[in-house]
Amino acid sequence: MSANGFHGAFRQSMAWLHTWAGLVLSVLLYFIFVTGTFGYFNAEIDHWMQPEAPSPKHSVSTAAMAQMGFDYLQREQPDARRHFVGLPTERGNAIRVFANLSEPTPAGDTFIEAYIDPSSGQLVDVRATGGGDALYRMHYALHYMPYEVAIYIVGVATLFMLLAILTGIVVHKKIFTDFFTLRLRKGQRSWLDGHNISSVLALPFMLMITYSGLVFYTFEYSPGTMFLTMGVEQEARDEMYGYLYPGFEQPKPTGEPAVMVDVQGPLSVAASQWPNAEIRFVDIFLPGDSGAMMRIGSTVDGIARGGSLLQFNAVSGQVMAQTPDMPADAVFSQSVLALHEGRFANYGLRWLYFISGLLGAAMVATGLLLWAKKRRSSLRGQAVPRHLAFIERTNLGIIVGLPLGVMTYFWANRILPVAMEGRAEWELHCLFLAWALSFAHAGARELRRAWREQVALLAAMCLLLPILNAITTDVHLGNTLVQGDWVRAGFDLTSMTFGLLCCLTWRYLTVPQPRTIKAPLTSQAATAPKASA
Amino acid sequence: MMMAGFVVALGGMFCFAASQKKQALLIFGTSPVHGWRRLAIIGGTVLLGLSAWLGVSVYGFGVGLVTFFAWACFAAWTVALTASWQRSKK
Repeated sequence: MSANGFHGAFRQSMAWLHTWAGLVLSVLLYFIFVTGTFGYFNAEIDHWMQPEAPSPKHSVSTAAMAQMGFDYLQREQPDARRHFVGLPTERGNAIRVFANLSEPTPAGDTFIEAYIDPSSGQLVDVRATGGGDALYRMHYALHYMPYEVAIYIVGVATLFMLLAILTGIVVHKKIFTDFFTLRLRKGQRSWLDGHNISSVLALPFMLMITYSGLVFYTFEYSPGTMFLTMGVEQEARDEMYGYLYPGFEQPKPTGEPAVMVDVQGPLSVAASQWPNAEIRFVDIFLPGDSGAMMRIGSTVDGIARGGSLLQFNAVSGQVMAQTPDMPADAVFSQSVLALHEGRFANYGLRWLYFISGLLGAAMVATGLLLWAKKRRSSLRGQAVPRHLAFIERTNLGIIVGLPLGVMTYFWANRILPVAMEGRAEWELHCLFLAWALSFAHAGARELRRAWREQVALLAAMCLLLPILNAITTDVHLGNTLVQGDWVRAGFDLTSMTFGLLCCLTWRYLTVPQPRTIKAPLTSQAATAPKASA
Repeated sequence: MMMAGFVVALGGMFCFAASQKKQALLIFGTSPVHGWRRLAIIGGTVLLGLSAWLGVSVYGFGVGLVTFFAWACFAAWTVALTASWQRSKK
């Protein structure tokens, strides 16, 4: 076989693999990209979805806020095993108090949680909502299924994604020549350009996010490595986790009552140690006991998943320990995971993460559309086969249906009664109901018309969300812009921007598209249909 | 600083686009001669290097490198969209 023949056959095999690896679990990949992308703003979405939570402006000191939290916990749960006070940071505005109870309540609760407004010191009664965390959690734990099953399904999808990306690099012969090429209104060629450009220009992100996604569950996806090196006994595994993630020793109760140190002293020590980070929480184990310990944590500084920690004797206020050093292998895996989560990112970088995530979703969506377009153009006037018609309609349900579901989730947050039983769960039911309706609509209507109608609905939902917000709450743009609550204002403005983009898409869909392609496509397009036919 | 690093990376990507005949014709309206193409590649490399240095010096090695990659990706996107917009006008 000649060199060209070998290369041609190899590239064709890779094109086949690229097509099918990307296509088979594309629904799941699109779902993972869309919901995971919202995760980059989970705290901000939480803030918008809890309109009762306080706005950011206050002039209360960190020590006063911590004391406010501990006063509440001491008053409500003096016998708790742990008092935790989460402080407002750049991404959250309320004081979050939390207590682990010594004994379960009559209702069976083992902890209590509440939010305090730092300005007034009053409890904030926030509505029950899934918030941004529910969207974020779905991208790895899915929904309506056990966590243990979901992470394996997501793992297989991620592996397929990695395969699709690597084979895509091999297939894309003109990767440098076509680096900046995006030809609009050229039918199938435009979809190919869109697919290439959304993946190639964000390639470092795509590779990082896919590879690091697999690293999250290393021991679940590859348990043999752990069993072979450490054995199958639980003690051996505990020893390994202890080595990888060394923590602080747990305090032991003495049974002797003691007065806790004023939180101001330890906070000053912590603030002087972390000049570039904010104090994120103060956590007291065994409050009221002479063996009590206090931990103070900072926000993330550098490529890391969590901030630094300092442990104090909660009676004397003496520093007992600092964040333990991790071994190099754990530092590597934690850095990879930190890159995936982007917790270290400031708002500028966070937006770039968000847009990169959307590009990932666009990459999957354009791949799906391209596949269907290729098959339709190869029909040359013949009747559309059932499987192709089915896939074309499914594509609509996937690509537009999921954003419609997410918008319904936000609408449900404002429309469902605040006192409703199971409210947070019903918000998510609304998401999936809307998504299912989108599939049903795509199946019932003429395809092009269905595209226009669903995109128009999505545009309307995005543009009207700030108006619904203004009708149902007082944290609307008129107030948030004046008060400098940029998180809530940013949410409304982003929704409107998406609405305008949907209007542009709708306009594009109403213009007739070219049916034929005059010039040959790139090598990728030329090889893929043949290989995957 | 976020904007400055992005603008430098954007300059680098425009230089790379200018070194390609097809893109240069679209964005600048002229095709570069051989000497200019080489200069554009060198200029692009220098500007991207400068952007990386800016990121690392402001945000530290780890976060700076991540920020630089983000600047570079979005700079390339901006160039691609500019070329696409110019093409649609012709």
